[in-house]
Amino acid sequence: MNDPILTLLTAIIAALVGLGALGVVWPPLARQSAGYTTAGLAGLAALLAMLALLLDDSPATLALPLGLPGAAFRLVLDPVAAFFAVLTFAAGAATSASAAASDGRPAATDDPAAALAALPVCLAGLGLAVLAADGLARGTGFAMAGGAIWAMGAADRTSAAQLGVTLLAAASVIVAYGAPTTMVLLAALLGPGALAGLVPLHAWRAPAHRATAPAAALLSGAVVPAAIYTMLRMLFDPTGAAPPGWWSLPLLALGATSVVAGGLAATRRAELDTALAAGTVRQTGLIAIGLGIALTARATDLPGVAAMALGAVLLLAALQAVCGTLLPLVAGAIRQGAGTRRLDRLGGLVHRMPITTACLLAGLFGIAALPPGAGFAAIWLLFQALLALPHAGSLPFQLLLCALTAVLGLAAALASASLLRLVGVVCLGRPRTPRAAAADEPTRRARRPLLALATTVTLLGVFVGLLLRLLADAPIRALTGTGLGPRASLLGLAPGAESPGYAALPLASLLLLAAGLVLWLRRLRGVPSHTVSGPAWEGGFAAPPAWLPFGNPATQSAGAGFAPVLAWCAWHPLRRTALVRGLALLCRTALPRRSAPLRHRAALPRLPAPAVALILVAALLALCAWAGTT
Amino acid sequence: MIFLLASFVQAVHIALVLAAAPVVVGLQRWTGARLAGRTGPELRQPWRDLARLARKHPTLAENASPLFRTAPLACFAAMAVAAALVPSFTLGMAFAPLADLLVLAGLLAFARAALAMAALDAGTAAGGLAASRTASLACLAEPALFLVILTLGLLGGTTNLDLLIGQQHQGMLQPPAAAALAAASLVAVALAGSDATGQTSEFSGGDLALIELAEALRMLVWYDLIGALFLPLGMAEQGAGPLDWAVGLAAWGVRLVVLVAGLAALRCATGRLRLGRTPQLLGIAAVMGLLAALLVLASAVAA
Repeated sequence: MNDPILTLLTAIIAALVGLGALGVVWPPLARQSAGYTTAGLAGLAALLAMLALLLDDSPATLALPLGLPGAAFRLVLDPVAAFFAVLTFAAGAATSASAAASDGRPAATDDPAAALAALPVCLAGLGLAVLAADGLARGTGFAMAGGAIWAMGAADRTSAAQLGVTLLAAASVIVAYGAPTTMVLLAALLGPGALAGLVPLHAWRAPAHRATAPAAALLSGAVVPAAIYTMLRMLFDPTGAAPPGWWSLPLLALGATSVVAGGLAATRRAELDTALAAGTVRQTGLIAIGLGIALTARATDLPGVAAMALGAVLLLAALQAVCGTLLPLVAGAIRQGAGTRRLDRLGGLVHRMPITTACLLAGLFGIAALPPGAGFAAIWLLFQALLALPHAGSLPFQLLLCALTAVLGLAAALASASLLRLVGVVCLGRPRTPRAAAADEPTRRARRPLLALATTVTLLGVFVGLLLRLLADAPIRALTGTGLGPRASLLGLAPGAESPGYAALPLASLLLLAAGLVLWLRRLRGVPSHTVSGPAWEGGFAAPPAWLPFGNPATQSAGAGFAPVLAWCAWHPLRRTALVRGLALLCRTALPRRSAPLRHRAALPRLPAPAVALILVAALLALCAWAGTT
Repeated sequence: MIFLLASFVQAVHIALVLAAAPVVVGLQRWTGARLAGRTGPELRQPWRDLARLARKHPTLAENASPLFRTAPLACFAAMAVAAALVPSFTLGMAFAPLADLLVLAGLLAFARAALAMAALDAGTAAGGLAASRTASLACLAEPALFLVILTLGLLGGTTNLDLLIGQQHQGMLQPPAAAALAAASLVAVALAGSDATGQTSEFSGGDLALIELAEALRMLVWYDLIGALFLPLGMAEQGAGPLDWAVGLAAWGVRLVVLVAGLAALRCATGRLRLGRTPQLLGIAAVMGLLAALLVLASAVAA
């Protein structure tokens, strides 16, 4: 059954290329109907790929009459490719529908016509990259997608960086095909890794997200899953034998650094789009950690742990496809409706844009690690995989795993902080400018894709076990030989058969039940539902004067201080590097702070006695344990 | 039959916890006042306050959004579910398979986030400051909490609270030093979290009652968690009879009184924790959590 599906998918990709070419030749065609056609084609492709995934048939291959002489492009449809094809095409369909719906609206920054011409080409490129069986076809796909996204945005320096990274990914994919193994690791980290936003080549993401909303949505919703898929293929496929154990170390280190750097940036950046871009870097870091754990588990022959880690990777990729598309589109709607992307000029949007606010809340809640969201399930799976891993490896490696656990905790807290900060500052509180006070909700048609994505992410959180069992089991089995099996069921996730775990569905029902009971009791006791409204209690300060119609702007939080300040690295010459920031946060967490006046002067921190004692004890313990192992 | 029994015990537990939470707050205040040389309010006073508040209808800030009325509900629901999951007098309750430690941490974070969201909604200076402080402190508390959960998971081979307490009850969480360090770390996290208030100034009426009840439940969850994980003496096992339950109830009461008194004495001795010192406390909690995990790993290697 996979053969006809692959043929149909190839036909859809060809049709998308044709649609794009027509739009370039005859620009009037690149209007709304073309956008909806693109959305329909991509949605059909996603459904077909999902059908292939559910049927779980033997892989199908197809040779195209294209490519270099003697090296025709080959396509393959196996469960892993089908899973990521679902994600990429679904994200593309939502983006196209949103871009088509917002066409014709007066907008200062967006150019929907350019987006509508380039969108089908980009989706075709990404489809080619996901379905490709050889490096050349995959590289060509990435190059097509990168070029199309570049054409979508304003052709300035920032989008040139995006184009450069995409071409680097394309080149590294082509080079790594059939290369010696260590080269493959390097290529995977620098090519698709950089494309997904992995440190150290992550800086291009923030400016690239300031381009048009569809371009940003594609860059984080469709490109990231395709890049993750490529990494998965490069790291898990090449020889069939398990790669050496040390391969996981750079992945884990870069992943942890990305989590800290991206998470901190998401609580700092002054603009909505760039803060969301930093959130993408954080999520990519989590995915890299999952990949690293899976590689370690595979090298030490723990297929169950590898399956759990890969389950987390696939869940995070799906989450990125949904939330990564939803959030930039919402940011675009806010930019159009409220005329700015700066946090300190927004505020109070919940009154004027309630549906957009709900979508922003749903998207950020999905990636925040709060139950019953899908992000929590991913963190839970990663934690359980880490917990099962220490039986493998030496003590230094186990120490690394402890540090990774702390990083997971930090990731969870930073994601919640980012949720609070963005929703709180952008949508809640008082409007900070007259323009924000007069913000407009997008049209009904433009809201539909947003609402669909928001519903999807909510359902993904509650039915995470069922969806993983249905859609992710076959790909994981194809990659590791062992599926998730009883670890994922309708009720939720579990670390093994017969053991209790995270029951997402019962937990969500209990939460609803508790809230419902309170409402019912209130009604039963006849508490009046009407409320009295009055000026907010400003801690005793007087009401603002008449010339400040939106209140005193200085008294409302504009998003500062949602994460700990790293005082001692503020003056350091290397302060911009993510590694230093991460180290600084770890030090700051572990060591008590020095007294304030000395903070910027002292070259070396003077540690208080208890901290020194604790560190010495820890070091001694580690030394003893080390001696015990050797 | 077993399921019916488990459901009955679960229902009793929920009723007890809901009834006891305000009394525990009263006990806390009374002990604190006695240690400071004052008479202190009656134990029932928090209950009276709640009843009084619940009768009033709330006054909202002018620019409050629908989210402002939802937040107390969400906060209370999360804390009520968390309180229902942490065992008090017996193991083997109906919700025991749901009681994962990470889920508990998540529910605490959920309640915290809901409250902070409402604090930002009013658009006041105090609310914004309190919300950002909460988020920022969580960045230090969560790593410590995750390290403690890792330690317990390594000790017991599971993150399920019921199974962990069962193992502790039979003295199987070895080495005890690691468990003690983990407990100390949890106490530090609980202490640091207990001062991050100041977000409730905009609430009134029934909403405020819900939030105060949720806050009381949060304290009780911490007491129950620390008490049951590290001092599960007298707790009834799964499938026990009414006599064991009575013993478990008495032991629960004693444990609560001891923990409340201990914490009150600690507070009396150290004074109120300054805001600037909270990160320091959390840093120490994280180091203790790391040390506990190290102890477990090192002892596993040595064995």
